[in-house]
Amino acid sequence: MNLATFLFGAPIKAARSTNSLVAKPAEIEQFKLYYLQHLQPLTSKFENARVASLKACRQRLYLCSAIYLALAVLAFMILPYMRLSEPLLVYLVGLVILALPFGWWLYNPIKHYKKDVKLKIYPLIFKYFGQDFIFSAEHKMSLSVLKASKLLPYYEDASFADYVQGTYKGIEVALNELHLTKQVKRDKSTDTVSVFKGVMIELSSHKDFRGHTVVVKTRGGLVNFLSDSFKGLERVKLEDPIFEKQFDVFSTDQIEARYLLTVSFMERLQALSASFGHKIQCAFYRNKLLIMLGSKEDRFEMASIFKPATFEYEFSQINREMKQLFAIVDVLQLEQSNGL
Amino acid sequence: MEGILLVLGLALIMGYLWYVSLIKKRNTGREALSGIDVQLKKRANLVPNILKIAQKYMDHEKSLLTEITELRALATKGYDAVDPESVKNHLQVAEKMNQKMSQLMVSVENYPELKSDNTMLQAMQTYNEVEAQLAAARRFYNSAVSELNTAVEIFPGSIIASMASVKVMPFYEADEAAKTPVDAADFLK
Repeated sequence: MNLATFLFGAPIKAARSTNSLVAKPAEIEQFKLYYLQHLQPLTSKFENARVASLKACRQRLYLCSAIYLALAVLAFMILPYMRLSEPLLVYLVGLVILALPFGWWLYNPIKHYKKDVKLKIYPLIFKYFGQDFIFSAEHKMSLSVLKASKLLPYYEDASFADYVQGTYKGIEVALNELHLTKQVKRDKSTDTVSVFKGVMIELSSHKDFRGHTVVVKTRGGLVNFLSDSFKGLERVKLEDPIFEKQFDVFSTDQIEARYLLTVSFMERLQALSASFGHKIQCAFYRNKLLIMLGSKEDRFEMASIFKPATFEYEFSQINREMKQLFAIVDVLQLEQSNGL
Repeated sequence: MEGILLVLGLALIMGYLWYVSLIKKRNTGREALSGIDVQLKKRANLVPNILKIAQKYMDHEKSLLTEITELRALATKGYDAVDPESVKNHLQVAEKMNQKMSQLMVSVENYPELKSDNTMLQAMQTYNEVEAQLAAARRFYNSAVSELNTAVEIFPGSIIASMASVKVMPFYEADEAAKTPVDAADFLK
């Protein structure tokens, strides 16, 4: 089923497992077993809920369309009798405003279904990576800490999405989707511009540090000279020319910065940056390593509402994305006491 | 006349700024050197404990242990931080001590009892931590010295440096351990 067939009244039927689990050959057996034990028993209930929500949505859609059309025709007939300076504009704006509550009401069953999946299925999916893994759509990282880490660019509005927390190879991992925006004034209007979209990763560190060290994408000598974004931190010039070309390092402690950014760590960070399209920045702050990973795609997204509620897509997708994030810990070798 | 005065004034200001920059660089070098000394002191305090534990098991390494003890005494001796020659000798002793301690750590592998001794394990861990800090301090020092030496050796810095008695400082040279290159693609497949 797709949007068109849904709109034109195709029958909405419950569907069962499609056997489309995807994982690396080395883990596929364990992956399937976990799915069969923990997720599949819930699919039947959720498939019924999905079908019910789609049916409710379509019923509301037909009802809303009829009412909306009737109101639109009625308004159009009344319009000439109303003494308005710009009747057509008022009519069109009125139509848009009228559509909003209808849209909200007809989408409500699907919204509830999706919320239910995130509340009941996603935590189960994340338990696959460890019993201490938690998922929350509401929980968020402390924005004041992120701001104080001096990693965030200038922004006016911040919105968090999915939050995950757990332990991987003894390293505490927390990640949160983050979108930062700011207002930019154009000639006649003000636009909202995205300044960062991606994921913030917080990793515990085996190395003790008291200072504050930030590794950002290189900004050029002139910008560094004029900018006061890293007030209180000194520029750290490292010996690796390739690293220096790619990153600017600022720290409150020159020696500690070099203690954290060893030659091998710099190599690993460069390798990682190349793998993520050079969209990595990080900060060592309050005994944590904060990584800012830019990405246009949303993480942990759900399959289309028109697809059966088998959660095979979600499970495979989340597993792939989490493995990619765990690879950061592997590449940086944070699990080793001398890894940094 | 006014033009000459203006040029002279500008030259004077530039000379002064150059002088300020040189002194700043020299002070950064000294600060970095004191950072090394802090770590060397930590290491020197740690060495007697390691030797005490090692002596119990390492009968065949007595000459090495004696050598380390002597080097430790030399390394903790005072030196003139303003005199480049004295700094050079101080850093050479520190590096020699580093080499001997590395030799000792390798020898520990031949003594399974010592290797499994908890106190020794803890001492070695702390030692490695101090070594990591020392390596960082050395990198900061060498970076500061590189900047200072370049400024001192290039004209007109060389003239201002000789007038202000700012001298080149020796590098802290040490063998870097071989680093294994990392290919992130292996992890991100």
